[in-house]
Amino acid sequence: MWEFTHYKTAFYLSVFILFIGIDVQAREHAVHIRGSTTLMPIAQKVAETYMAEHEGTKIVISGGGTAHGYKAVMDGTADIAMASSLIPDDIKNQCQLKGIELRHTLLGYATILAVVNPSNNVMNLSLTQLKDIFTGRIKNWKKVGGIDAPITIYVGPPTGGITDTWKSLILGVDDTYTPAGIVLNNSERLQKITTETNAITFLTLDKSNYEKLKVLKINNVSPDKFTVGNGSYTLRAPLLLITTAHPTAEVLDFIRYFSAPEQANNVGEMVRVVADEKDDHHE
Amino acid sequence: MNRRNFLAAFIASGGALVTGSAINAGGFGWHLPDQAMHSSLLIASTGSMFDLCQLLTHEYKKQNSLIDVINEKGDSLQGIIAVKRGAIDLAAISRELSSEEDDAESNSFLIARSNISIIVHPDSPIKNMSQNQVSNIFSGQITNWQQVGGSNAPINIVSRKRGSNTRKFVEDVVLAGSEITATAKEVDSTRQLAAAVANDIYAIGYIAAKNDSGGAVVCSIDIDGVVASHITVLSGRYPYTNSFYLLFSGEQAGIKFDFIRFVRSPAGQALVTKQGFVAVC
Repeated sequence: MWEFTHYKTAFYLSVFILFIGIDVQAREHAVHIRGSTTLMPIAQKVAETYMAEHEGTKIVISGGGTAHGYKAVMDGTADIAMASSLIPDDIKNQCQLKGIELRHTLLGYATILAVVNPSNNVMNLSLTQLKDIFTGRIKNWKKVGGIDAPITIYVGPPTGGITDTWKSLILGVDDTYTPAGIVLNNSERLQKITTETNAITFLTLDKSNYEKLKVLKINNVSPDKFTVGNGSYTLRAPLLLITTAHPTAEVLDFIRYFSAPEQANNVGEMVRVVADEKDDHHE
Repeated sequence: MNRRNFLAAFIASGGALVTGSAINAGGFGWHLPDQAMHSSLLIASTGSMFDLCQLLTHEYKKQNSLIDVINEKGDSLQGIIAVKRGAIDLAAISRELSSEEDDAESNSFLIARSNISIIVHPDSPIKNMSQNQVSNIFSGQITNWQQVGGSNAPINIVSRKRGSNTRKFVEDVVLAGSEITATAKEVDSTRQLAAAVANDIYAIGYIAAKNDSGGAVVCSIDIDGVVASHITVLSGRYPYTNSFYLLFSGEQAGIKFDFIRFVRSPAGQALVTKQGFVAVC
């Protein structure tokens, strides 16, 4: 009988401790973030001001790319994924199989630049011309108002993020890149475009590199905060924070903080969404 | 061959012993006494995580005395291969998985971080350097303080000896694979290194934040304008930051996952801090 009571007390005590435990843990739960290297430098600055203002919180950030981020949220090794492209189909399928619902918050956009060498006399391409160049239907600069010279095309490796977004903007679902397209990473493409007169590629970069290359207008629209924010400049990648359907209070609090207009100094080259487009929604 | 010998041989051979599958490895457990009661947890730890894993498994076993824990040293790649083949339950690794390694079955949980601080004498005028400058100094290409904005005086490099995990981290991350110059003065411990830098205004060295500098007064310099602090290590912006993961393959269940839950709990993270790492959960 004594033993019985003893167990019972222990049981109630442990239930009590369990509740206390949950309460304390909920407030001290760290937020782990992985994913897009485009979004990472922005997230790092926001996280640092957040941690400085909220003593005892931990916002832990790693890169690895958009695809890595999506996977990490799906398997629970991260609380938030940073993404610079919408949910890829293979991840969508895996989520459906596992019954996982993902939720995304649009923070803003990264501007994708169509770039050529400064010596190139072409200033503007229509989106259709850009598509025709990357699919190989247009092979010579003279077809788009340039000199008589073959077009060299550089594309990005299939690592998700900006590369995926560019590909879906340019190729849609049906088209494919011309086999003549050469696959290089960002810094290699930047290097090529600054040295090769007939090259074209896409990049996201800060203004410090602008003088070494020429940024093309698309459909006669130059990229700037306004044209990217309202979508009239069409080459832009969504910058997203991805969570599961029911994130912890800490995760929601950090996402709210990140989305707030007061973060203007931290967001660098990210373009905030103009007006009514901003929305949290379920995928 | 029992499981322990199997693991040791496996680690020593870099994974060549087993061709294939979990089924192979599972077969080695048959002889364990009282299978119904005992379970085991096989971990391969990279050198810099070995002591931490010893401490964590020791505490974990206090609550779960029926679990046999075996923790062996290996490098990160060997651990990753062994986990994927099902030869071990967990790999404690000191780098992120590459996108090729991060397959659908892999689960890599961040459990700790640490960082290297580049240290100089407190009276040194140098408060900040670029990653490039630091790497050129330790590889021996920059030899005079004047080349990085200091006075005209030789740079006296102090380094740990070969075999030190901290030195390995510096060579892997700070020097991107190159070796520390042979002209560096080599010492046996972090305390000796800190003391040497504290006594020489023209010295430069490095310490892992987790190691005790023995009270020597040295100054940690900023790298590319980023101060080494808990906040910049957690945000990952401080460039000489190291991340430590526990990796397993397959379902989030069983002893391996229970152990990870323990490591990420307040009790586990207190041990991470006690061992001098930065807690991340």
